[in-house]
Amino acid sequence: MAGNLNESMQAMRSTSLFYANSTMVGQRLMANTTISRFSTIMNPVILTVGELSTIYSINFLKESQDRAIINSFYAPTKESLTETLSTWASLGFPNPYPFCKFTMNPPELCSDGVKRDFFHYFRYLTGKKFEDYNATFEALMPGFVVIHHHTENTLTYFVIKP
Amino acid sequence: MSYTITLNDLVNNSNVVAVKESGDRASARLFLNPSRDEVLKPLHQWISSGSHENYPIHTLQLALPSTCSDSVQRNFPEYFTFLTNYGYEHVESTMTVKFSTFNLSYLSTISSFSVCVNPN
Repeated sequence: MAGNLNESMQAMRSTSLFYANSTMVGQRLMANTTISRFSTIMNPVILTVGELSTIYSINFLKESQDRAIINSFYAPTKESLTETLSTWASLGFPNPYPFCKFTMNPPELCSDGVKRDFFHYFRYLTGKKFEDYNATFEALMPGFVVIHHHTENTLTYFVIKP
Repeated sequence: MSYTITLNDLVNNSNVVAVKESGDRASARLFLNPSRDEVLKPLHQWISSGSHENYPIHTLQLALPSTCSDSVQRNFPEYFTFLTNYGYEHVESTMTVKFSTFNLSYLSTISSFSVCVNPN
């Protein structure tokens, strides 16, 4: 905390110093139009170590949380799966029937500095594609076929009665 | 009427050189004013790869013309100054302000100049 405060104060001092200097630069600019094209007026600190650390930590934490959500998603309890499939059965086995889905918004930037869409973010977190998990569900309910569909940020698995 | 136009003729054409310099000048201007979003990506990569020393986060890379529009041959630092009227020391003082809390270093090659970060 104290470190962040010191850092912020240092950044403010640097910024103030810069603005003080920029006046001088501005005076020089008036006499030299070529230089003015590359003016550095109004270029304060764009990022501090503290800000970077915070942004990185938030992105890293989100990835950990999203990874945990995905792991729990692919390990449904027998009770929850039975309940969902029972509802399907009571409806007369309409095909295909959505039995589970989740929504996830990728961070602006992953912790490795890459911006990813939902599909690639999922693969980045799990090392697998959506369809690789069809078999995971099929193993939990032998005799049924599982397919999936994804939109911009939602993944849905459907069960089909052959 | 018979004539030939060679690749060298085209490359050394004054209009071609002027257009290239204009593009390079724009690149140099962008280099002097990096955006926050632009550097966040390499900085994330720097952290995730172990925060090594001299990690480039912002680079200006230009292909040097054989001769500039004023018919002078220049190396990279000279070409940068020709384009911007600034030397490397200006880049360093500018980046020191923009990244005041970072431990910066600079990497110069025959065709590029990079701003690098180091562990504090």
